[in-house]
Amino acid sequence: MSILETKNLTYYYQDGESRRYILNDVDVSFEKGKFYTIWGQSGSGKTTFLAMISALDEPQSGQVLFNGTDIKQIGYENYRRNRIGIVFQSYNLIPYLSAVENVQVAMSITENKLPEREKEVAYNLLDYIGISRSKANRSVTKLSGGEQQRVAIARALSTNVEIILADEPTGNLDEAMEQEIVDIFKKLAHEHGKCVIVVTHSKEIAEQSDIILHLHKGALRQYE
Amino acid sequence: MSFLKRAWLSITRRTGKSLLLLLIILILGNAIAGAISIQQASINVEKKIKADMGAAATIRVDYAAMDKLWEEFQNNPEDMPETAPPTPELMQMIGESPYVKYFDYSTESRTGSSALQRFIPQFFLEQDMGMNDDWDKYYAFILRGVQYHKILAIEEGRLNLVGGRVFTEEEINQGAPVAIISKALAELNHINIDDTIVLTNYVMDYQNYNDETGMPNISKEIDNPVKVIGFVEAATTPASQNQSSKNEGDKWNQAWTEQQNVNTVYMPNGFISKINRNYRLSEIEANPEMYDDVKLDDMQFDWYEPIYILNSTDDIEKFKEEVTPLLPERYLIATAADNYENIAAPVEQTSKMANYVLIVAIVASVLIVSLVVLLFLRDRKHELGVYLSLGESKSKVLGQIIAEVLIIALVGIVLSVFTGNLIASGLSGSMIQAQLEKQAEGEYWGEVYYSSGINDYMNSDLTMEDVAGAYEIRLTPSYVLIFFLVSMGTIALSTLVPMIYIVRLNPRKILM
Ligand SMILES: Nc1ncnc2c1ncn2[C@@H]1O[C@H](COP(=O)(O)OP(=O)(O)O)[C@@H](O)[C@H]1O
Ligand SMILES: [Mg+2]
Repeated sequence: MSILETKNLTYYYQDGESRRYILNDVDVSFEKGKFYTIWGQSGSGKTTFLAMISALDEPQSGQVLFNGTDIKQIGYENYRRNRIGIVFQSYNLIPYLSAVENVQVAMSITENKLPEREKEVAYNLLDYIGISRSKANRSVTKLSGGEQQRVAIARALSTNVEIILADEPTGNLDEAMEQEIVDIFKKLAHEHGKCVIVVTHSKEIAEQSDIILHLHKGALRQYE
Repeated sequence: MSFLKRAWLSITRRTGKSLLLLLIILILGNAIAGAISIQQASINVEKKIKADMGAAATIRVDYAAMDKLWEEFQNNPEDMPETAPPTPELMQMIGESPYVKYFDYSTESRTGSSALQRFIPQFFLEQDMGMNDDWDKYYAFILRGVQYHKILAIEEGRLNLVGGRVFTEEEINQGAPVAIISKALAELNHINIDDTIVLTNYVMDYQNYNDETGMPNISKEIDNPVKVIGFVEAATTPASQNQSSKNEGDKWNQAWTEQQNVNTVYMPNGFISKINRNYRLSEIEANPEMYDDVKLDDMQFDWYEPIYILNSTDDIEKFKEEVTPLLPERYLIATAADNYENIAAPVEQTSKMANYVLIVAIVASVLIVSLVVLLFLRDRKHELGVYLSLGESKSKVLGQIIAEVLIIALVGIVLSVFTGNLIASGLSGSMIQAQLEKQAEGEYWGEVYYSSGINDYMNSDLTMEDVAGAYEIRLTPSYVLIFFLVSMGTIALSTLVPMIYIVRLNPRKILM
């Protein structure tokens, strides 16, 4: 049973008279408990695809379905708030807040039911992802890149969503750090039953995922 | 962490930016607060001085309109339309306006007296200033017509009734030969209440002159007997007391005023009208060659001047609006407060300057604050994008930014209320002083009413110094209220452009 699905997803840029198709009738579905990678060359349209399924942009035609319902019907804002967590390449943390406060921001925006004592939960979550309590109280600008990306992952998880979406989450990190982050994603899928979709251009990362979806010339196909 | 909490953390943790915005708002806020302080002070001084000037009004010729008429018809003056003065009936009708507390209209005449001695102040006697010649004697007494039987000057506290009584309405309506005279004149001539005095019209023969005096011969004396029913005395005002004789000019003025006052006889308009008519007819009879083409039916013997005391100075504009359409052409309502503009120039100049400062400061504030907030927002676009990507609604993102600006603005505005007021009081004081010195060089006295009947009501002794002295910057509730409204409105305008920026934010473009 798929949690997320696309139907005839099409996205193009108008290039003068002609259209340049970035996504052309993409049909794909994702399940919980699996770690997916969207793999492709730079400029192939991976980020565009992620923008569609994270409701940060809208396709010209086709649909994104969450549990069978068009996310347009759910409402893009509502969908982002309650159904997904996004991790960006450049962390995108709020610089004047501490790590734990960054997590709390997300927790206060979602309408999902969260355990009481929010701050405690945020600390525990950060700790689980590898940010100690003392680091959690620090301003995020004083954390390393790897640590900042962990905070971003904790923030994505904190709203108790089932889908985690990440766009080149290790693009700014060194290799050792990269592996640790990938391990977190694996754990989230396999131990916590999340549907994890990571966009990457790296073959090494793609090879560690359960399912590789190769994006090429507007088509997204499972890569064997 | 609600959006308000986020706003608060943003202000307190980004202290440099918060302080910078606060500083900008403080500077602009002080300019706005100072300008509003000065405006308010000008409004207050105007109210106060106009109240001191009194709520008196009269009808007079519109000199500007007359000049225009003369200019228009300078080549064919025979075609110039008549400018008819307002009739007593119209004056009466205007007096019934709800804005009028009480009113009077008055005709005036002059007579001598074959029996009475006129009053001459000590100052003139000492100076031997030639105030004692025959010509003066023939016109020694001012007959002041009264329509308001209780006498306006008594009601207004300018005259005190010190003996006898005022007129009855019947006496006024019938034009009875009764008079109220000054106490000093009574004492000089040993007159008691109910005595009859004689006022004499000297009819001149303008063809034959006395070789010695150079005066026309008297062809006829008309004695008008009048019964004295009351004595009055000018109420001494504090102003007239401390004016005690600084220089010769002042002494002369004071003596002149005293002579006029003491020699004034109050009588019903109707009686003065009869005296005037008799006198003029006799004069025509005595000088037929001068009046050979007059038609008696067309002749007018009386001119009236009205004075209206309004309920309050606040009613002046409304009164003008109501009655001006009723006036004959080229007449207008003049009020005592009309002179305010002439003596308020230093204050008005300062206030005008404050007006410009206010407008410039508001425009500058909107531009500068918009721009600064916008620049700060561009710096924070990733943060704003994150909120949106987390599913926060744009209205709450807007709410956070507006809350941040408002909190900082509020601090700046509250501080500016006091500092701006202080700055204004320091600055405007010296500005007014400078204006005062500039104005003193070419001082303008404004409209002066020489007609002694309404003189007291229409002219005041107030000067530019009085206006400048009454000017005071204060921390009044209306100032605080107006400043808050204006400054908050300015801040609201300043958030408009930043709001548009936020509404148009595209989180994909920012974050991916
Ligand atoms: N505003 C745009 N107008 C035209 N083409 C664009 C625009 N933005 C991105 N593209 C093109 O769309 C393609 C897909 O971009 P993107 O989804 O960012 O690729 P990826 O993430 O795989 O590198 C790229 O070739 C890029 O040049
Ligand atoms: Mg990309």
